[in-house]
Amino acid sequence: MNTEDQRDAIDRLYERLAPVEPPVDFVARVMTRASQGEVAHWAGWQRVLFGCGYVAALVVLAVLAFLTGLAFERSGLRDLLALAIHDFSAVSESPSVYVAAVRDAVPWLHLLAIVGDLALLALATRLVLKVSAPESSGATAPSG
Amino acid sequence: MTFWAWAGRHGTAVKFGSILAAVLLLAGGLVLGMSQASGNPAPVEELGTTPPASLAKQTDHYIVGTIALVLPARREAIVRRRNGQLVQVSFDTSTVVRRDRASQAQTALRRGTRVIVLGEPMNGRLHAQVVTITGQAPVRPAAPARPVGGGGADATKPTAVP
Repeated sequence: MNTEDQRDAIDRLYERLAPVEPPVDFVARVMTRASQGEVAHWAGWQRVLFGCGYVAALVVLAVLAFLTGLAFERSGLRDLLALAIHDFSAVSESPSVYVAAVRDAVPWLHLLAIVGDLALLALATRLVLKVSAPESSGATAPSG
Repeated sequence: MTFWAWAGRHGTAVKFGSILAAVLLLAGGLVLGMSQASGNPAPVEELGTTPPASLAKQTDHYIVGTIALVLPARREAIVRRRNGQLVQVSFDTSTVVRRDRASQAQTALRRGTRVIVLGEPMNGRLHAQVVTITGQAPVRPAAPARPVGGGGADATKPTAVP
């Protein structure tokens, strides 16, 4: 048996193959296709839901900021902070009392609600970006 | 171009835009709320020249308000909070009174003086440690004395209001 007999049809097919240089934007195309396939899994109502959640988080933030401003003024927190700026000696006379006064004046529930809403806004932003699709293939894909 | 396509292409812009919008809404809302609250003071009822029968119980370490009545013999004052509540404030010789970054005598505390009082709440009143005078409210003529249960001694007589 010579060498030619040992080679089968598959080997002969492999011999016909030649290395081909991939297109320059090959990786970009593949990544874009993959991204589009991922986006396609998101239903339209989910996009609308995330978008509404994003807008709602912004509106709630504005309302909470307004209510916190009201609470700042009504509790006298703004005056206490201004006191420390304009006459620090009044604060240094009894710093522990001043700290206790600021602690009493801070509207903690309002601040907690704002922190919670900011967390929701961050989550909504992340979801909005996740469901957003690139406009055209290869437009956002990294080069190389 | 749809919003989603735009957002997909400009992820960084969406992130920074969200941060900017949050900061602007937060600052704008706070300023608007504070200006709204400062523009709507509580209705003021004239106190008269004797301590009122009912006073609000003080639990905080501070009061921001206006002196409604001074009782120097008892080293006390009645301070009206912004919400209209009246609170009893007591002094002693160690109480510091400040105005325009300088110490003042306790006699500087008069009816109509706007003050920030820092102290310790005790028995429903605030024992003042530092009183900072921040201004002077327009003084209205004192209402006629109303009968009050108890008191009546010289110690409860208010100071003459200039």
